[in-house]
Amino acid sequence: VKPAAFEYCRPDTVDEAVALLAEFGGDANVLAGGMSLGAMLNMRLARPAALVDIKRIPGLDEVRIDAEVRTGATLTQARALEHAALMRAVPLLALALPWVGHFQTRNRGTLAGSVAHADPSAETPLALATLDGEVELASARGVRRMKAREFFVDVMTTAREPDEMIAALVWPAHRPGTRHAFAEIAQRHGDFAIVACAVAAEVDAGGVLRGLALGLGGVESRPVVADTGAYLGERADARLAAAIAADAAARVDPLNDHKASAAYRRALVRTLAAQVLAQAFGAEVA
Amino acid sequence: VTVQLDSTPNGQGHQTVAAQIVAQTLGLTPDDIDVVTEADTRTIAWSIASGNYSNRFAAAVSSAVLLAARRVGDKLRQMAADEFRVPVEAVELANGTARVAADPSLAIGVGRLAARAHWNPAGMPSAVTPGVHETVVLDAPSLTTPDAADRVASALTYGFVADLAAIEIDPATGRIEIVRYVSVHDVGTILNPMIVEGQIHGGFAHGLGAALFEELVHDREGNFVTGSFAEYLCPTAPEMPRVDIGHVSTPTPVNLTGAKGMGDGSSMLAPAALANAAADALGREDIELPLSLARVWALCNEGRE
Repeated sequence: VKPAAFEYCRPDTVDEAVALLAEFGGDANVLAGGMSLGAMLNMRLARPAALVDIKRIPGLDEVRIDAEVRTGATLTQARALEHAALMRAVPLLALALPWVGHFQTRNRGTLAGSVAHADPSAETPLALATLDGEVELASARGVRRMKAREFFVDVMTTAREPDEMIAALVWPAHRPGTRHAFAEIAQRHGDFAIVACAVAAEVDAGGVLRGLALGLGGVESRPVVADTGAYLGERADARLAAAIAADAAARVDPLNDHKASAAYRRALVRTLAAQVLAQAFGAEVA
Repeated sequence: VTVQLDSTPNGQGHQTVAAQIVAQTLGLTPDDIDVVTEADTRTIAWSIASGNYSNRFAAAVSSAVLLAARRVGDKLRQMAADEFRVPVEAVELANGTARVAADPSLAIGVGRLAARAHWNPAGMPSAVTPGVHETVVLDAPSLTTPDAADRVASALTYGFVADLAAIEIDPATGRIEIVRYVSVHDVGTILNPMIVEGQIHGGFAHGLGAALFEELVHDREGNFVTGSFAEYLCPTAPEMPRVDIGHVSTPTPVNLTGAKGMGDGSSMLAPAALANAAADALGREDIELPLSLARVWALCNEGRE
């Protein structure tokens, strides 16, 4: 199948890009790597009047590492994986990105594109939500930032306004002592996850849990960050991992579709979260 | 040398094997053989072997190719025997020549020999017709006409396959790991080992897809929900386990090459072998394919939730 006719625009600056988005009044799609949008256009699931191709805007793939880490809109998954300082600064991303698609698709797919696409199973949105990162949105009206946990609204639905584009993702800088783990279950290598789990955990020298974020992808219509505050102050071991995982599994409201039943997704949350938490705690799996 | 086939291949290696058979028979190399497989029913024979089914190429067409090559070879040897004034039995085809083994000075290139039939047909031996061209239409005694109920056995002969699957199932995730997969074939004479192996691996991949992934799913309203390759999942390279291949070779007596054919490889067996392995592992016989993660998990955990 071929896409319906569309106008193709290739702005040289973000200002030009957002001016085009305003001009088309929500009937334009931003094109970066095109790994999801390309297929959607071909299958005519997306029929925009125009594509605004931001891929060649100079500097938009920049990585800035300060008190926080900022990854530009056109940074590809492959470049991110090659960026040693970025991978040190956001260790969860280093664990999550190898699960994204395939070696070949990562050469074009972008971090921000995955966040904009907002597939509930996607790894990058899950990592960003788990770490409580932010999305930087640009429009002709200005620039604003939004918490990732608020940005994702529903299946492939975000809080982005039609005249906005994602200019960058903002990742909290790595706090020494925080440990991360990531794992997922997919039908085939490189498929979107049926369930994905991401963990950032702070465990003190005495083995006591001081901070925890458990993110669950593919379970509900958007990435979920489990409420785990009640477990802070407890001994971070495999028993605690299993208890947190069972609690999270009981609280989710899983999707139910032809790929997986709600019961299966709930069971995967319990199994996978227990493994990933135990790994982050540095404990043997119970 | 040009070979025209009516077997209409679409990737099964007919050109490779036909070139190999003709080259071996005529003492040439496969590079010397141009195999034409484009078929136009106005200009070539159109037989029951036209169309790739019932392993026609290995079981029937390869024997027709061999017979045609032998007849062409006999003619070349007869012409060379006449030239060298030796009995035809003394002439062999080797290294691109027709030569007398006992006397190295008596050798002529196959190309020059064939040219005589073109430039000077009148100078050919009396028993030899002009041109070096043979058409063989092979008829097999095991092929009968359709019976009163219009049924017909269209296969000349049958290969045999035995597959063995050893799997491990993780009941927590429903993941099936293929620990070992062995596929043993009796294809009769193996015409080309690389093509046979390739067909076995390719056939297995199709069988693996049917066993674990591929499914036509409709929702409750009747909408087809696996209508693209994003939902209708086919195996990709990382899903392929190692397949250990073995052969027992019993040449068939019904044709000249002894080949039984082996198209489809393990495509039919892999779903049955993997379903049987799952039935054995789970202690139940109601196994439906494909054995997707969700389905296997449900089989392992039914009644527990």
